[in-house]
Amino acid sequence: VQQLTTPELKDYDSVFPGENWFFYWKTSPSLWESKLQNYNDLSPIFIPVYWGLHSENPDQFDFGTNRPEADLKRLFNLANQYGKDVILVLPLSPCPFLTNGGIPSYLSRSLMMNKDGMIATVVDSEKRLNKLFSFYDPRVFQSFRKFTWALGQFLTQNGFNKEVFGADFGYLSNNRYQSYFDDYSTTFMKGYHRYLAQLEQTDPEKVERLIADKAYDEELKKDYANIVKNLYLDSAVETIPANWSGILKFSCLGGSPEDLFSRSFERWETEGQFIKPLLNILVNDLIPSSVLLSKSNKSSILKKALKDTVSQSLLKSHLNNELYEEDLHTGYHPQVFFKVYCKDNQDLLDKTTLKYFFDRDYQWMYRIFHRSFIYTQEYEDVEKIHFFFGKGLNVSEFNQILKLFLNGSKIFIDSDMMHADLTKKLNIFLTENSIETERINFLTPLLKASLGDGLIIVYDSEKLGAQPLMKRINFWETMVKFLKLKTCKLEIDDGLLYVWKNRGSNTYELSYEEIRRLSFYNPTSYKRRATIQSSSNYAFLKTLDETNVEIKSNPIGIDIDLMPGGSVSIDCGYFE
Amino acid sequence: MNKEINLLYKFNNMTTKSKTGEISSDYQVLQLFTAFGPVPAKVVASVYRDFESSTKRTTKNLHFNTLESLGHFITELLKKYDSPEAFLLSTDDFNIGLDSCNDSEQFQDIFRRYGTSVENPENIIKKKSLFRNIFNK
Repeated sequence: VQQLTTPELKDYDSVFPGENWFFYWKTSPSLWESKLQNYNDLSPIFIPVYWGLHSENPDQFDFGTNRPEADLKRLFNLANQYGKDVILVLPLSPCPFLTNGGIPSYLSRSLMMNKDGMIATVVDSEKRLNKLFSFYDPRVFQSFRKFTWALGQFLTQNGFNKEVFGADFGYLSNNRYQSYFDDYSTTFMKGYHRYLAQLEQTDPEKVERLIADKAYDEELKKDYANIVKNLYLDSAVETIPANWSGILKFSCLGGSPEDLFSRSFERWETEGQFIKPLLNILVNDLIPSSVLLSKSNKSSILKKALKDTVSQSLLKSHLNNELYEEDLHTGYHPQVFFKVYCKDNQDLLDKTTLKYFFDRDYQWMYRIFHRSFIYTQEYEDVEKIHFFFGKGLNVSEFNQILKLFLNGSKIFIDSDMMHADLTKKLNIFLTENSIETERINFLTPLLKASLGDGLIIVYDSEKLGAQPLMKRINFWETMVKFLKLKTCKLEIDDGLLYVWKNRGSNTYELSYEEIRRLSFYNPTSYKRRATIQSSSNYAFLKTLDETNVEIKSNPIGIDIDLMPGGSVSIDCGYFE
Repeated sequence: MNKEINLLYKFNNMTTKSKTGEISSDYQVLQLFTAFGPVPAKVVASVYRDFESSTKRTTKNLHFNTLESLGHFITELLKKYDSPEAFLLSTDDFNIGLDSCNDSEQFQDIFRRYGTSVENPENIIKKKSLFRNIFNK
């Protein structure tokens, strides 16, 4: 087996702290030119709009008229001069890597609170504490409107023809995305009470329901939060219409309330602690951002994990709002077998133990989408296994799902709380097209329909969820076994993490259908072992980027011993 | 020095009646750690097992009906974990401390500066014995 090393990433610095972010305020404007000239990534450069920097006084906005460090026009011109594609990113939520969350100091009055009643605080890459301020403060919104209007005028007047994206910053907590927009402070509550007072006039039924049912309070709070969130979005879209391209969701590593504690103590914080969150961010269809972490946090094992997973194709798929990562034929993309479209039904993944099953047997080989499913002719992931939940599914989406099935995809549909019209529609569709069906009972009533490569399996999560844990796991094992996925058998010690990637074979690799790359990371403080068992569909080709590992062949495969902080990648040729 | 335990708790404003019909409150532990990381779950669980609580008892979800029982819990934890001292801090006091912090170095001192100190009684006995030994000699 050959041993190779892939090209090293350029080291992170304060100006390019990671994932193509360019922090123009972190260096002298005289150095912008050399920084941009030396930038050699093919992905566009993300330039965050630092509101606080461009507005030192209310009603006064500076995009370079007074201070060279605020000169966005010069920055764009320099990027243009060196052929660098730039994307302007306008935060629509508090931004954790900016002082005061990005808002001007004259507006930093009402501190944000997290759900545990602590001031929302984030540790940045220089170990400074950034306290975040509430976006529910009416003064903040009024000033934001003025600012986006001024920004829109500036972009129009200077012929800026690049894309502008809004950014929602957040973090993962208990595997759920939490936006920094979410606030539990008295400022939020004051606004919420104003909203309730308004509802009394416009929609008294809701208030009556609230009096009768206290649990409804949470729902109304969500409604209010969404209204305010949309005000910020509408303001940006209205004032920057020509360049507006959508919203990107960034999940910040090291940005959760728990991280405030671990990252404040040097002997507690470890580089490895961020790898699992990174992989969880990817699974949850979010863009990871490591800019809160210092260069020393990203010097070895995390640096490799970021290099392995945050690819050009990942960023491209988010920028184009695509539901797949297009194979650019330039490199590897994540090996994903399962795509779960769950919208707000993430609880069902836990209830049916589907997520547990994926995490155990198909670590990081699945994606959870909170967006609606849209099927287009360009959709490239037909061969993946799709999961949909009946709860909240509408007719339009259902039609897309049927198209996906007709094009040969394998689909699981949870029938629990699915609208009766959709159940009827499915039955008519199956009958009219004379599609072969089979109905059996296996822990839940199952409907199996197949046509060519296409397969639909309908199950009931309510009935499945009522089964004991082992039976639920066994259900998914049986279902997936039936799909005959070709994977290598791995035996992994606790705590060891791994990701699979793949790419099409090139002209020198015609014996293989594709090349699969398996990367291991040991974030623990102990030696860990992984054993890859030989399989008739896999041929080991080479090992790459070995750091603190020992690899030994054995009669049944390969043993890999990874020391603490160790990592390695292994390329395999895959053939049918 | 670094084995001092820091405990952050919040008071949940939801006065409830306990099984015995008494009015009780809810103090929830949010963070329980030393400078090296969280206090091991096994150690916490072994101490928490002996405490009555009206809510579910997991190490991720520690609840106490009174501040006294929280104090008693931390004393037992100090003994079990062989730690010299603990600092208890409510979220309100934590926020006061946090407001004046600008970096992680200052943050490390919040619990010591604003928290309530609880000493390990076994250490106090050891200290007393040491003094007694010195003065008896």
